[in-house]
Amino acid sequence: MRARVIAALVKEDIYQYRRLIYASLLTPWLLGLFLLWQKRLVYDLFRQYHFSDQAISTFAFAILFAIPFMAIWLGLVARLGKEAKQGYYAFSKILPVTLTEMVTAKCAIGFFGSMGAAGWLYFCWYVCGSAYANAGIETVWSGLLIFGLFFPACLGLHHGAFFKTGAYEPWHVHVLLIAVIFLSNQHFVARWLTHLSKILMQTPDLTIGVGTICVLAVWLLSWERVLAADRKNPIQYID
Amino acid sequence: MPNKTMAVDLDIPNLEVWNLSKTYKDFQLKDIQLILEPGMIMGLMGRNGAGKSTTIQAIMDLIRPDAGEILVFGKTMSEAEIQLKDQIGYVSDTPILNESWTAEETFRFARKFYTNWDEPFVHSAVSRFDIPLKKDVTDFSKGMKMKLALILAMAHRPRLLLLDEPTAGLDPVVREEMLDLILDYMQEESRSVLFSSHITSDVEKIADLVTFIDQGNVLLSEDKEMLLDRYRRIVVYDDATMTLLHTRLFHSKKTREGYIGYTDDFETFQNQAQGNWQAERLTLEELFVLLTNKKKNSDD
Repeated sequence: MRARVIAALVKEDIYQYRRLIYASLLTPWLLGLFLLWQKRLVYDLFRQYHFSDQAISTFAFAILFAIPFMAIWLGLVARLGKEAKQGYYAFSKILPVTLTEMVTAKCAIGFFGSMGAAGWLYFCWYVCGSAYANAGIETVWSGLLIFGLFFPACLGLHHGAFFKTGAYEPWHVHVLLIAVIFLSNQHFVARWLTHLSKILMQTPDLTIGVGTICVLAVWLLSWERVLAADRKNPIQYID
Repeated sequence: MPNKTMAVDLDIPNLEVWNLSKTYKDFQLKDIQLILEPGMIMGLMGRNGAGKSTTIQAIMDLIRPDAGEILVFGKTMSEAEIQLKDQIGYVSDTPILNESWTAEETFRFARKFYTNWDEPFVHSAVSRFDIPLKKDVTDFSKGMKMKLALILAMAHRPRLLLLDEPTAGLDPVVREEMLDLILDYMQEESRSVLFSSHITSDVEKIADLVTFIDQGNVLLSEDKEMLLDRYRRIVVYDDATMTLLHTRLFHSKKTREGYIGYTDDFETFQNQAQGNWQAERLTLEELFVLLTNKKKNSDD
């Protein structure tokens, strides 16, 4: 496995992501500028619909925090299937690049991309958290747990399943999201999430640190399983 | 991106395929054997579904064979995948390209991974073939994609070029341009081309060796000129001569002008046969059809 080749593949991915990165960074600022420019209109709207402080906080959270996160997340999820359809993996197979290097590069970009997106959420919360209404804090912490740790771990599993089967559609993630929606309505999940959120609120550094290690372990396991599967039965990207 | 380069040894064949077998649900490739020496162009001929693409994909390590051994420059892919792929150019029948990239992005990406990337060649080939660098590959015509794939396959000056039906479905002008490019590439003696096609005129034009493949079997593999010299269509004009010659001919049948049969050893035939007959040279296409039918009849 050659580090320089992996770095070149990662660099290429970042180059291909450039439009998405610009868009995800620009969108909140453009929306923020629009809100400032039209602040009278926005105030009137808030007053007219009797928005609470919590609703306004959530709205701001959605704009500032969630848009860049979701853009990166959706990009990472959609990327693999899109590239497979467009022939990226078949093309890479005919170059002097090994599957180990290709999968490692994709896992690296997926892991650091999703953890970067999660880092963005935590950074925003660190900067703006104190301005939020107390009533919504537990929900926000739950959101941080789900989006910041659970989703990146799921993306790791998705990468593993994708490369292991050579699947062309990101259906694993769609199934996963449906499962998350379903499970979030279950009483035991809500209780478990509340409990975890409390731990996160009490010891944020420790919880985030342990969570990150768990996510990394999931990614490493997925990566290892892909390579083991390829050694046993080579993954086919050519019909 | 420097890879370890391989020393050129002209005594080692550029490609050796020994007893290659691969079974699919509805197709079987059986004991394929090929040897391609440096400086040679081999035309791999066969009907659609004969096993040409499967053979080339196995050589390129895109599919794993059930049995057999493939040596490129004396090494297997598992021994030296990176060094071998650095020295192989591959064009598939459906060009393998990332469709969302432009031609420029494709070159920019590929050049990072090869030792001998030849930028002046890319520039000259791009202008020779009028490749639009800024256009997405997905908007290219089939001919344009094939040209791009061929330039890409040659841009790192490989010693072995594997071309799987590169001229199929292309107009005669584009085909001619591509064949010219392949002949230009063969100026260096260490290089070889394995060129699969069912367009026999293309193979006849550029190949030194021909291999006929049918239903997963190699029917023959030999020097093109020797092969064309060896086979003849024999027209026999009277019954008496036909009585003398019928054991020396195969596929003989009666027609309005006389009897027509074939010989696969014209030199001996010429020395020994007497009577009223005439020999006609076969084209590669006629020979291919003849041998395919011969095998089919013997199977029946």
